[in-house]
Amino acid sequence: MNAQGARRVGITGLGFITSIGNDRVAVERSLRELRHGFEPHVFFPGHEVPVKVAGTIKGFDTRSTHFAEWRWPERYTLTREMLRSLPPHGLHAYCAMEQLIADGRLTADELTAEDTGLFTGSAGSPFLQRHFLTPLHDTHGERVFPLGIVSAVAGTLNFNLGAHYGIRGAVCGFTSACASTAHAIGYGYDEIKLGRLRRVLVVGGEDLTAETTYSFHGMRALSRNPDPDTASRPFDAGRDGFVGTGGSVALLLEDIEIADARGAPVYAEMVGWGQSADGYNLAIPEPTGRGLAVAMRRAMASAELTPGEVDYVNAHATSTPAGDVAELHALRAVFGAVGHRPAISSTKALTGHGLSMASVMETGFCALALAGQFIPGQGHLVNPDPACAGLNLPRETLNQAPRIVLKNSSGFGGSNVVLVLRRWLRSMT
Amino acid sequence: MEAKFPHSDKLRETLRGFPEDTVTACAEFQATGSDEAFQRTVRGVLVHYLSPPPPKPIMSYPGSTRLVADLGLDSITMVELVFLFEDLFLVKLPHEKAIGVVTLDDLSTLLHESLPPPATA
Repeated sequence: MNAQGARRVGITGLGFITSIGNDRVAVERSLRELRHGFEPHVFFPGHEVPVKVAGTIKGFDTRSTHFAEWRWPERYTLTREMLRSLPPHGLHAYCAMEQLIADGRLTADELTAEDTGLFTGSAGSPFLQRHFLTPLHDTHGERVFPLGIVSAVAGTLNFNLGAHYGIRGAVCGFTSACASTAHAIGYGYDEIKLGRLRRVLVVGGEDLTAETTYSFHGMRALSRNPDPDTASRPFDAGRDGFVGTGGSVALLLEDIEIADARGAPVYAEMVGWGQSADGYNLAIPEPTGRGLAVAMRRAMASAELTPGEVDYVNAHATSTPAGDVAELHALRAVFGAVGHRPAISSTKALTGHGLSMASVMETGFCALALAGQFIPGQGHLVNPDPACAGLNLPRETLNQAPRIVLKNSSGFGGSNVVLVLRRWLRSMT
Repeated sequence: MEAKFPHSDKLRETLRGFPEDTVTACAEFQATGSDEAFQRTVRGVLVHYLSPPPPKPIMSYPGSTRLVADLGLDSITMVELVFLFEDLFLVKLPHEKAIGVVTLDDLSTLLHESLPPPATA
């Protein structure tokens, strides 16, 4: 608690299975070196497809609908009992959770304590849903795989991980599309601040499958650029859509006093958050960025900070023409008004867009930046969109220690969520 | 070394992830109709679905062993087993009969009754 008796919340454990690395060290290296995780990748080999690049997960093979054919790194042990109800990204989530437990030095007793909760974000697995629902139709309802529903619907991560790890404080899933895990982090923070829980595991995951990815091609939201080096280029004038990715990221929010007492690492402090809604369109962001600007201001107000104190904004920007420019307008409205130019970058230039997972992945990146004292540069930015004028988008990673970081997220339905993180200095307690 | 009883692609696909012993037992049952191979198949499938696995070799359990009370099988896994056996033996196990299965012997009997009679010369 601080001098006023308020609980302080920290990020005290991380786990990553992402296109740019399958552990914290590899991810931080990729962020520092602006190394992307894209490869030529088609979901229907042998056919002409419009989308040819993806942010692939290396070291895993989850192409089959049957877990017996999946492959994963040897360091992780999974039983049939666990695998039978997992979607592909559930396998990644389990691996990310194992990393988090080790990194956060959590004991089994702490995991299963009545004040430990689990909040998740995942779109479920349309890939497995299709697989399991086909026999339902073929047999007119007679033959339905009993675990099909829990492995395929949107709550699959909270069902599976909550049961496997024996979580007893709270288990809840969030479904605000690409803002899902930002909501999960925000409400997890509130639970700790209110004293209801001492720690909240936040886990996001997404399949990288034709069903999850190409569905966005229906909206013409995906890049058709076949070059892995340039397909994802947020804020660049030549951007033509996002590049899909999958995997899973796990992040531990915890009462800092408790984390400190048990010797856990504190990567960053979370000091507030805010949200808003566009009230405009189910899929297209409000063009002026009004809603996102409201969420940014609310987040800073909740943290008792002013725009002039922000050092870095990890943008939502996915590399779509409409979304990026709306966010640029929001950034200009918030920071331009006070003549402040924080560094801004979207790390989706390196990872691709992880949908429900994106916010927790990028919040994890921000925590690494705060702890490691660097600011990720804007990868793949060659010709900035004219709307970038006056904003500070460094093209290389900066060896500067940010003190205050904002993490922006937006999702279908006009959800906007902004999280505020602060560099953790023990002397500040 | 070539398998004594050839494993069909269909058998391999149905028993993806199962121990080789169980796949071999089923191939032997398909080739010979041996009751002993049938028992090894059924119990091999069963033990693969049990978590935790039973403390003793599954073949050492008497037929009166109860699937739920003694071996720890749950109701969802029982449905998985029924589907697997239907695919493996190309039979239909009626729900009304499957829910009446309590022991290892009950399971064997249900499967035996559902299998087509052996071909005669």
